[in-house]
Amino acid sequence: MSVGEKYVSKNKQPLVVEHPYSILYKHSFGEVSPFFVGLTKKRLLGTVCRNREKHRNGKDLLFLPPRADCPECMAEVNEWVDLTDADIRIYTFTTAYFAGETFLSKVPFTLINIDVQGFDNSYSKLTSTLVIDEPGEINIKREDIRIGMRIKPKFRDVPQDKVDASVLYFVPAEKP
Amino acid sequence: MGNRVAMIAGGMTQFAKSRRDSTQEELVMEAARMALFENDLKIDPLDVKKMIDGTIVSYFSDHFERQLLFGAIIRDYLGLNPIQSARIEGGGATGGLGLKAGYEMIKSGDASLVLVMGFEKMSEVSTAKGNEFIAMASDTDFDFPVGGYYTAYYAAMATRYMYEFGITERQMAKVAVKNRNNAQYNFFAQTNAKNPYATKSTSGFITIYDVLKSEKIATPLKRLDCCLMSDGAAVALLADESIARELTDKPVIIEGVGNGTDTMRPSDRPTTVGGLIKEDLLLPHEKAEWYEDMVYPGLHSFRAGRKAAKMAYKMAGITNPLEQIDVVELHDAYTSSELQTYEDLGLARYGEGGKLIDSAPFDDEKGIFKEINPKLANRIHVNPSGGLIGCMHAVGATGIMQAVSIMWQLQGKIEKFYGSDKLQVKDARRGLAHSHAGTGSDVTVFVMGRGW
Repeated sequence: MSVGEKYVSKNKQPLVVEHPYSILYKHSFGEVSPFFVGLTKKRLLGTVCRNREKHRNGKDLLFLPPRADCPECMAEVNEWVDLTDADIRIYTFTTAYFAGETFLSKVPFTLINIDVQGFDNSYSKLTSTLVIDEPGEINIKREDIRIGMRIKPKFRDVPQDKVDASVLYFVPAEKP
Repeated sequence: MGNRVAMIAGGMTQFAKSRRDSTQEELVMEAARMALFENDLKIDPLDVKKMIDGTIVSYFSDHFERQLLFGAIIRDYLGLNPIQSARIEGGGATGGLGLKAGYEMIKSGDASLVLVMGFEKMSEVSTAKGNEFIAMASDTDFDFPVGGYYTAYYAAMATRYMYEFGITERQMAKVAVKNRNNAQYNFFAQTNAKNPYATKSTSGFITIYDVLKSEKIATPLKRLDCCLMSDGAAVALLADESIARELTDKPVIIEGVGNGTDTMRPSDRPTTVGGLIKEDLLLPHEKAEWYEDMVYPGLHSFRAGRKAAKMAYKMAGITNPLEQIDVVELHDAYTSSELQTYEDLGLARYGEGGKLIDSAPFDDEKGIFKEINPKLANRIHVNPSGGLIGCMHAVGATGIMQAVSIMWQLQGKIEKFYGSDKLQVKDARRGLAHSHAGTGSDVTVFVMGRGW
């Protein structure tokens, strides 16, 4: 008999009871609040640090998700750029057929990391969703989603006190 | 540098989707009892216990346990008061970081015999809720609210990994076949059909066809590409080398310890051309010309894993890991991440993780490896325990299970504990245990060698 076998529990009748647990958080978006306000105004905003000579790769850094402080030169970052009409591509993607509890009813859905052209993409590969069957937009099949495909941002209508990152989503901006 | 640190004993529970028969503290006791009473210590186990002068408790999620300050309950239940202790948490690398904290307690001189205890009980909530709790270990402002969860983050990384290097779903599936079928000879493993707590539908041998046709979770990852969610505990006893030699004839020396980190969000990983060289992450056996044009780390590689490996190898004097290491237990959260980790650990060149799994003889018709616990590159064994895909992922216990498995491999005690000698790597002299969190936010690497 192995050691493992010797240690098997003899308890066959544990008592199991139910414990519900619910919490409401009052969450602040702090200094990147303008990003979320922007979403309610149908604008996609990022921040830029232009201290390129102090950055490891010698380039200006676009932050998307936005940051109020540059992790490389530690400067405060005050410059916001509007990327709503930028040339944006798919950096990578996955189609989810399972999810955490909150999103289980929404499968299948496609998650993407984006690639904003014209900027170094080290800090700007925002995670979002790609909707492939939006009425009035270019519709494609899931198997046609490709790295490098052009996409554009869209915004759900929500009041400002209910905003979160899911207000933003993307649709194809070119046919496969 | 002072005395070296050794691992001298270990224990673990049966791992299972659900261990309702026992509470968390009872599970830790089960593993600790095994550690003290079954590891051939040279003096009475209760006298050994009296010598313990430090403990570490490692568990990941306060949500899963619905109990804060759980360390106090564990220490109390095992009779380990009033000695010094700390709780360590670092996502999936919680166990590895716990071991590192125990190592440091001894290395600093603050303790000479430290019990490191890891556990998790993930079954008290539904699988979907559990996935959500794990997803909350991603950025909850930007990644979680859009539907992000861990399989999807790794899947998006796998998509890019395949795009960069031409890795295939079939190569990924082979990892699942290897690890799951190894687990059939490890009695502790959740998917071992003989484990009394095993769920029939999710245990037993598999073929590559089973993996490729299993349910899609997040493309390209399918059900059998993914790690388990488990209940269970694992415990390791670490000692100052001089104490270690008093307590055992087979102390396993921790020769190298490494730890690396990376951004929480995959979105913020640098995409620097030649980044591996610029960040001084080249290993001694690698040539700069291999990687001058490679974007690094991007979304295809785990920079934290490479950093941890480089640090541990330097300390242990490893100049060519594939030649100097006999057995590896690594964090196969997904089949894709096992292949990626081969590269981070320098077992294969970047981009050639798929070739390394293809190097083991495979029966294409049957869809299984020709041997259980196959040798890769005709040299190294990876995840004989079954890993996270075949054995367990009870988060806080995982890194400890892996390191204890390496210790038993080096001591030649696999049959005694696993119940079969099939997974014993013959004459293993040096092993590596790799523990990994998030999408590579925190990684630890331990190089362990025979001390006799």
